[in-house]
Amino acid sequence: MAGSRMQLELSRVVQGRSRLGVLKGLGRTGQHSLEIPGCLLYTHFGTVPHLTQDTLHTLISLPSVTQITLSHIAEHQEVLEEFKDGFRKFAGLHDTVLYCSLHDPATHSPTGYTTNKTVSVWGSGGRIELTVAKFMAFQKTVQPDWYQSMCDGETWQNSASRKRVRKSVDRTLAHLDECLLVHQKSKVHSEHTLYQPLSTLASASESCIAQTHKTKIDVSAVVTGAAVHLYYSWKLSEIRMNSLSVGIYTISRCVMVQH
Amino acid sequence: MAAPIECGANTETIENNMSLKKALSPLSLRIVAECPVTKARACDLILPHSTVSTPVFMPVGTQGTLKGITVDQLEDLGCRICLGNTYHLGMRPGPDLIEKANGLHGFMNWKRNLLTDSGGFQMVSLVELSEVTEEGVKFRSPYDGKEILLSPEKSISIQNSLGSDIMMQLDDVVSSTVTGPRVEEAMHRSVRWLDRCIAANKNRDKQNLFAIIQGGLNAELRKACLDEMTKRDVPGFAIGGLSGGEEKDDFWRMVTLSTDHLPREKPRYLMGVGYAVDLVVCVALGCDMFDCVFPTRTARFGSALVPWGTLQVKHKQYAKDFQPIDPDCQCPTCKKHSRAYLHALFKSDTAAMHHITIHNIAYQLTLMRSVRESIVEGRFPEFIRTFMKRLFPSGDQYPSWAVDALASVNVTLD
Repeated sequence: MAGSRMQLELSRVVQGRSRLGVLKGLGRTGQHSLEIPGCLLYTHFGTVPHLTQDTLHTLISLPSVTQITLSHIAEHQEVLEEFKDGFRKFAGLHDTVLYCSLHDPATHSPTGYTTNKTVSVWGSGGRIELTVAKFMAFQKTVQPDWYQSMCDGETWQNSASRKRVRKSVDRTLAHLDECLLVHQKSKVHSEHTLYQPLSTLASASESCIAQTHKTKIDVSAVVTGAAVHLYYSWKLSEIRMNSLSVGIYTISRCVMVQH
Repeated sequence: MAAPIECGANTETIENNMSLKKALSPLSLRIVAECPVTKARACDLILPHSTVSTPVFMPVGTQGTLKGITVDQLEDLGCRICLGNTYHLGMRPGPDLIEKANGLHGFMNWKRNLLTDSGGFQMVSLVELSEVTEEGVKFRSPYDGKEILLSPEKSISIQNSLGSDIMMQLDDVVSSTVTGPRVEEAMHRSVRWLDRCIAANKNRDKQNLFAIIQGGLNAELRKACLDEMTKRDVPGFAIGGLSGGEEKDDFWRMVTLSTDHLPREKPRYLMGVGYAVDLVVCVALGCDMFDCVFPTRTARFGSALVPWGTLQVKHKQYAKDFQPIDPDCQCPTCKKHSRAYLHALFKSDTAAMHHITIHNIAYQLTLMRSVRESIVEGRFPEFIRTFMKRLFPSGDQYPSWAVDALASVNVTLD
């Protein structure tokens, strides 16, 4: 599995928490690397907002990983299916690692539409409901290097009850199980790295990670949810393995699970 | 203006004086080729910042930028001259700031040539309550509500601060659909304002002031204007007061009348013309320079210009079209992106408009380059025929005005 080529090399750890290092072996041929702390290149449908590729490439030191959002792409599913060669080629992207997130990390989506079997994303034409099957079908046409697993992340409001948080964890783990099944069966997906999202409250994260460990799911990385809660850091530091915190557009944080 | 003849000077000295004077002039036109069939010419227009090959299309960068693209991208497309606008820049940020920034060139960081319009057209087209008097045009600024008078002197002063390579006189602009005594009044006033502009120009050695021929759609008035303005020593002439919604049949007749009476050795700038057919026909009628907002403005609406017309990228039919806009086009957009990607991108990001803008400018510049090549190689009439065939599915769809205009310069379309 392509994910096993990834290696995290830490060169320095301060007070058991802040880390400096490089994530190596990224991309199809494993030739890309990402410095950590580091960030990904945020895009709208593969385009850095307002910039053409030529203008973008006048900048030096671009991040080696480009982020795209499934919600922007979902409405173009048919086009990508017909194109067959994946989103990177469709968008005329340069040689970059492609990461597909579920929602746009820079905006809020409406809440209240998630069910036990579905999550919703919003395109220019309105709401699109995704089952795991549909979600994985999308990923098959997008062909990213990394993708965020389907999840219920609507717990960032302070008013989210413990019950709601618990529900979010359960749903997310259930989705993950299903995604992994499809992922492991499919030749196409095995080239991609699946990221497991955590829900946002610290206590929930803890239980979510505990679950992950218990079931020994072969997951390459863990994405933490959308809030910037500082009390995260001490919870995360309890994750005893080669953990990695990578800021994705300052919102999501990525934790590597060694397997 | 003849060089002064000194007592005892021989003809060689006089000739040297004249060529020296010419070399010091901020504009000179070298005619490279003339079409033996039509009135078309291919020239090298030598301006302070670089040489410009004509016929040339000048993209419009109204507020010191072409919307959506950088000067580097414009340079890479091969553009040698573009437009800035005195009215807009004069209002915001104002001439003083731009002068401090090393002129408009410094402000925009554009190293090649700039042409600025006088502001006259905007005042009449954009500002509702403008009043024209002999002094100038009085209007209320939409930016801060203050009453402003744009006189010939004020316009030239702003353009001097902007430091453009070519400046336009302030003319009394009248819509081409207006008839009657107002047209004659505007024509005569434009001549008087030309003289005031010439007198007000502080930078004769660095900036070229062009006259603008007026006279509406009236042949006599236009001829009178031509007679008067060609008496003035200006480095170039523009044909104004056209391309404003008048009948094309009247339009081309005024263009060809104007070029008939403009000096051969000075550039002819036809203002506000930018549709492909119009460009090709007006080159045949003897024009060298053109400007228009059309290609850049239509791009922002998703309309791409192609040799067979236009391609509406936002149309559903292109959603799964994986070809570039024009497979033969060498612009950065066509080399990298498909119609399908751009179609989808219009729903996600403004960069889609920028891609089309770049393509459209490339289209216009390539068209002019091909026109020039055909003139230099002595095959312009054939070029016209091939061009028209590509653009119109059949001969009976050729616009009749174009057929007539081309026939007047000995080109028949089959």
